[in-house]
Amino acid sequence: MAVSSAHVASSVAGDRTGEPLRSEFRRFDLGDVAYLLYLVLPHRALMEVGRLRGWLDYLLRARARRAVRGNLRDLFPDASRWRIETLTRRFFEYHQMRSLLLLLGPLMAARGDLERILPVDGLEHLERARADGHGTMLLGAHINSVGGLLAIMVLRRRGIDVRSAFPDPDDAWTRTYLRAFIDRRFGAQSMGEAVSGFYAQFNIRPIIKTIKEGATLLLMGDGWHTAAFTEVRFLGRTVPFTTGPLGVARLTGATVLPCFIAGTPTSLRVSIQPGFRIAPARADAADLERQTAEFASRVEEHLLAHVSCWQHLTVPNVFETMRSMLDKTIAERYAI
Amino acid sequence: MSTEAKLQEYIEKTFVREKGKRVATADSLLDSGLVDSTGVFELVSFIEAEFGIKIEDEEILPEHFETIDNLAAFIGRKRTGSAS
Repeated sequence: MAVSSAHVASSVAGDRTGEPLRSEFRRFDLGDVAYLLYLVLPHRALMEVGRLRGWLDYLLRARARRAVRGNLRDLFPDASRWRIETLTRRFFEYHQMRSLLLLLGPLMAARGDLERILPVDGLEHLERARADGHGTMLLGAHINSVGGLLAIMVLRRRGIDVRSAFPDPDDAWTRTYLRAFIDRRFGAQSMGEAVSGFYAQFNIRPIIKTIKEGATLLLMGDGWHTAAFTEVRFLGRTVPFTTGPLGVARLTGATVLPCFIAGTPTSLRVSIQPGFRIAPARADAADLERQTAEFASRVEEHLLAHVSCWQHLTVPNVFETMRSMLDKTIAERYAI
Repeated sequence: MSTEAKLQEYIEKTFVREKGKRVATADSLLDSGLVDSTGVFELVSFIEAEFGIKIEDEEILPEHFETIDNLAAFIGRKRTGSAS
């Protein structure tokens, strides 16, 4: 669907750029049940509830199931039908288990449970980069991606000022009155507060400001809502890959640390990898493109180890969609 | 030198990688990929310094940055105090 530039103008309306995400309340939803179960069930049992919900999604959401299955067939043309079906089912199960974890994240963080279930590897790389004083950026990918928000909560609990930019000014994790009551009871924050989220889309001034203030910024390094791409080899194909976050690193001089969420939802780990910096001159674009290709290869490696955790699998014909990004206007990319 | 010419010179010097390639004032800057979000940030800094105006966050919109013509019109409105 073509999107008019007027639509984009309103969708990236800058009047709330840089502001904390806006949070509102709703009366009741299934998340309330999850909150109550969290208070009475052991963690493993709670995860099995998430798995069951995912299994139901797998059975009931035929269109999404077809998209995931089709993308997996494209990715693994030689895999057996049984293998593809197992990966497809796991995609839905893991998705719901992660969503459950994320919904409960601020409450689990406040109660000290989140640090127990989400260990952080490579913290020394982040501490070293922060000590260097150039600014720091954690660069994640859409693989176990909501785990990145959980990582922010864990790191913030350790006293590290990590923040995140969102393409939507509203807190997508609207609380109900019951959840807000329970959160208050245990001193938990809203999602937007827990991840120190702020709105930034087309206008990146708040992103630059955040880095200059000495905070660590978590960005997704494989997003599609971007104006800048370079072509890389990815999963055996040549596809456009965003250079946006590394462009910000070039502009600010920030150290970039790839940050992946490894494992399955019952055993997630944050993996912070050694940092690198981008040549500061715009004229030295080759360095930015080389580092983007290098990051893409790390994303690929992580993806192949966690294929059922790749969030983009629900996009029909994901590889064709990726390939067509260069032909789309910015408005069309923002609309995906 | 006109506003358009100053913008054109800066954009060609800063963003164009092919030597000698010209950017027309009606050419797409964003959809063509010539100027990305970091480029918009640099362009804003240039405009503020060169034309002595302050661009607010809510004014950093794709519609203002899509072409040199659009940018020049926006700068003109800012200078006369009628930009929205």
